[in-house]
Amino acid sequence: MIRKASFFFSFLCLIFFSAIVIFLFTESLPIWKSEGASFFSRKLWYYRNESFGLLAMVFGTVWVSILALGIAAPIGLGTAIYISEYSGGKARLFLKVLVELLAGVPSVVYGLLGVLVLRGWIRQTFSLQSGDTLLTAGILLAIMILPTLVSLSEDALQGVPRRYREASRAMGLTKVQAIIYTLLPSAKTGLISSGLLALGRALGETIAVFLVIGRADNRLPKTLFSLKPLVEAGQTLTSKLGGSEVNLAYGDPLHWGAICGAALVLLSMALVAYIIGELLIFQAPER
Amino acid sequence: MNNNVLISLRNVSVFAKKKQLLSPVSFDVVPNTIHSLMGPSGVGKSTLLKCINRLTDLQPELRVEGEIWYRNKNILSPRTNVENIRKKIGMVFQAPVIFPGSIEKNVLFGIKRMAPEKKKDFPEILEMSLREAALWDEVKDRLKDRAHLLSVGQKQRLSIARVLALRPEIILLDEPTSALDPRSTELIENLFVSLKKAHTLILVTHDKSQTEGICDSCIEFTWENGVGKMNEIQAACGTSCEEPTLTLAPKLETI
Amino acid sequence: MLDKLLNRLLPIVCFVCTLLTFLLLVGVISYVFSRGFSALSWEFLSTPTKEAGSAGGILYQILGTLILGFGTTIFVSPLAYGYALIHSFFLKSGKRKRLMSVFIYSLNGFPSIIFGIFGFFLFVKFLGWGKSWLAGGILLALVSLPTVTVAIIERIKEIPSLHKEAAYAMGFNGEKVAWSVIIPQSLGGYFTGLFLGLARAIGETAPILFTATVFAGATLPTGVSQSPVLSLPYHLFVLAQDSYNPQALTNGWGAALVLIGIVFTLSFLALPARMIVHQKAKNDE
Repeated sequence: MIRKASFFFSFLCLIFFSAIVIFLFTESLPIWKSEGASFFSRKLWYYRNESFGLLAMVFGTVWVSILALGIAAPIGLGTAIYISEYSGGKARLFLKVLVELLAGVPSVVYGLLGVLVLRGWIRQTFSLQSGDTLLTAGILLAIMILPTLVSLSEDALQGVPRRYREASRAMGLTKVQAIIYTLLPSAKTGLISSGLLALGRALGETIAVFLVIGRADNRLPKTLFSLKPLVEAGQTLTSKLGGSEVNLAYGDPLHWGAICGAALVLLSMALVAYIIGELLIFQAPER
Repeated sequence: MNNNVLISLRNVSVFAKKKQLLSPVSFDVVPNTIHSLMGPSGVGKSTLLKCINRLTDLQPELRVEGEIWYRNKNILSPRTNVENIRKKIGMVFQAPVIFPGSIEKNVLFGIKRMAPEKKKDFPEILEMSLREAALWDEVKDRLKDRAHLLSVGQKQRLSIARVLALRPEIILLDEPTSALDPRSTELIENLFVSLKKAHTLILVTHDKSQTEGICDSCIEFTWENGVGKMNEIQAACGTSCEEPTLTLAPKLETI
Repeated sequence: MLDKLLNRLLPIVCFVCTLLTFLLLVGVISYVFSRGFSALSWEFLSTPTKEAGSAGGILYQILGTLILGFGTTIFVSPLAYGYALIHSFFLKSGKRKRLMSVFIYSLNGFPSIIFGIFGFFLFVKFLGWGKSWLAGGILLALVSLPTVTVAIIERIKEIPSLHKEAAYAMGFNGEKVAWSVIIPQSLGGYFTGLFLGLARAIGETAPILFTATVFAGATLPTGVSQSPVLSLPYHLFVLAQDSYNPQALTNGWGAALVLIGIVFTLSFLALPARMIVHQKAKNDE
């Protein structure tokens, strides 16, 4: 009885998630048929003209996520080193639990803070017309992924057996040398993995980004490596998918196809980062 | 004090917070011998070993009392530069410790940081250390290979080579063969006997035959009221000992 | 030379990072607390919203969030337990087990808006439910599924094989062992996972955005189709977008505080188990 029920429910799990992937795929078929690869390279998204291109949104998504990781990763690593190597016993436990608790703050609360605090601060600091920018979204995301990063990186450092620290100290290395030359290289895989998992989360975060990014379509800089888009409004895949255009699109196969296509692209990006991150943990190096 | 004594422990005792782990221990170690510490698990042998290179500092809950004299300096004094001491007193652990990277990188791991000025001697140090650790012939053609690919026995010899590269005077061995198969154990035991010519070894072991086979003297530890305690020192050299007269004579004088 | 510099610098840099991290995160909480605390009162918690959030309380938002949490619990429990039992007890072959592990871990990587889009298609349009609390419950169950499942799996792994062997030795079959040993001994993991999963699900906005929740005009659901609920995250989401009325904002901060309060309470319930995990990580060295 319980065996059958368990098989049934596991099967249901598999069906649900395969259904999501299949749904995104079949519903987005019209856009692949009509646009093909140019769905990625077309710069313009303007549904009234039936022009659907993802380039500006992918650009926004990549910029915001890299910005978030770029800000959060160094701070997170420093914090993880401190918690793992410089705080002992009870203090470590306390910091660790606090970080996990803070990782649970809902993203809409961060969004609210972004709208009412960070946005104004960015507007004043860079004397802009509006504080809805890619930079605002990036900083907000950095704060949001920081607890995840700290917690996972600390796990990775903690996973390095004590004899590694002892062996390098026994050779006369100082604590700092042992951290730099032994601990960090030994925990490298785990640290990269925590970065990837955080990146996966940043790529998929919707609500907070939605609230502070300005949701302006088709903003692409003239040159790829210009910093100017940072202080301008933009659009990410998630902010597009969280918007009211979803309601509007349903019923028009091509437009709905473009929405589902964007969702499929988002899912692929997030899953690639996430699965590589998870696989790295699974095949942790021999110790 | 006998000036042939290299290192001398005077009333060394260990506490964890308030609880005593080890009652005062005193003994001398003369150069070019293998000294073994034996006894049941948890009795404090490994901890005593870690007192000698102050690795106990890494466990803030441990407190060490007494004196350990080495080259007219008390190792346990707070003013001692522990990094310099550890350069002179190497340590090999129960399980091999292999850092990520190549075999070559592993051998030079310590010396690169402790004596970067010797850079041009590195190739020579690399070969010498691997030869001393009886590993050179097996790895000379693949020094750039990942060290993780070696067998456990080879890894332990690589750990020893890394310690030897720093040219230590004393080598502390914390059950170095307990994770190995009999064949590798034998290889490493022979290695220890040959290392005795240039170094002094202090060995923690559970294996009575190892003590009898290769060691010059042996200290046994036992439990007494839940606290580790040192029994008397015995000469332990067995038949395979190569230069018994040279090393035993001065040691017996010091007792 | 560089090493000497680093010797001094690294501890300081790491300390500054830690300070920054905790100032930021504790700052976030205390900011919400300081802005929202003045809104909190029994009346605020027990009366419905009036005038688009600028008056009244958040009764139905709280109830709606609890209803969604209830729906999540109902759906995630059998799914997660079934999956965990198959993975860690009934399946023997390594390959299929590994595949199931990879699958459940990758679910964590699903951006939550994907559930929103899928639910919009399946429940709102295809099944014609319109916005429904039930759709929200199912979607949030999918969001929390990996958390709950992994917690149960971890606990099953820790059951000593002696216990299972003793049960088999009495002539129990797999079913009976599951009932008498595996399920009772993994309940702790289930509750830990459920609290953590609910803490995550209840704060989510993206999955229920198009499928389950509205800003105004709903009380308690009576059926399945056309029966949306109000909810705290969506309430905040709308207020954050277009409220310039200071009183509405104060009430918004109050609602944010209540949401954080619920989420933290759930996390606290899971705390003892997490502490044990961290302590073990330290001892395992």
